[in-house]
Amino acid sequence: MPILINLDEVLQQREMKSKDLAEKIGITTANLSILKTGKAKAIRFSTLAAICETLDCQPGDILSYEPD
Amino acid sequence: MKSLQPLKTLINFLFIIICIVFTGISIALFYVALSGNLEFLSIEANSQIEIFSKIITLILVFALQVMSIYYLREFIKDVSPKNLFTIQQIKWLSKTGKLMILATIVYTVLNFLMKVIFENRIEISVLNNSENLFYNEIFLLIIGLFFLFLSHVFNSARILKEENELTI
Repeated sequence: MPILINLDEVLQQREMKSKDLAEKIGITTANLSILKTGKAKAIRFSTLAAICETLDCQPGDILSYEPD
Repeated sequence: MKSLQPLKTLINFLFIIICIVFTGISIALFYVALSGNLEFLSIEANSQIEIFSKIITLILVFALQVMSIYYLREFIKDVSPKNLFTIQQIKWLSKTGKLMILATIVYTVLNFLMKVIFENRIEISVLNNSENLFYNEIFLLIIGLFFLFLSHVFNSARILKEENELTI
């Protein structure tokens, strides 16, 4: 998948734990882990919006494109 | 899915009955054929080879049909509202369809060959039992193909389900 998730870096910058983010945006830690490890096939706009709101960032800060 | 429980019961009942009948018929046919008491059989035939051919055809087709029902039973046994669209279910559906088609083709081809060899005539019949329209080769082929199609539908559903589960 050429779409990379940089959630770990953003979380580190914000000094926030995955568990706290999962709680704030209302998803399970298991689902957040799927997202972070790049196993997710898609992300809902509502989830993306919730992540951006909580981490005070733009979608581009979390997602990046790298050709295979 | 209220229909699932009666379906499971019926297919189990049918499978048990068919297994008993298949075993009984196979043993009886071979015993009678080997003992030479051919008058006991109600098979119309002019020679012993013809009788053997008809017995082999009967058992072969019946065995393929039993196997297809076995896989259908396995599929129905596994299906539940919370357990749908698995790879194993897709395989069982596909095998059921393929075996139904194979049984029908084997039956039609062997019947055709036996008529050519033993009766010196060419005949292909597709509506053997005109009293029951569901019991004919074309309908069985349609059912077999439908099971194959259903396995493809299940495969598409499996991919969609996986995508849905991996959508965060």
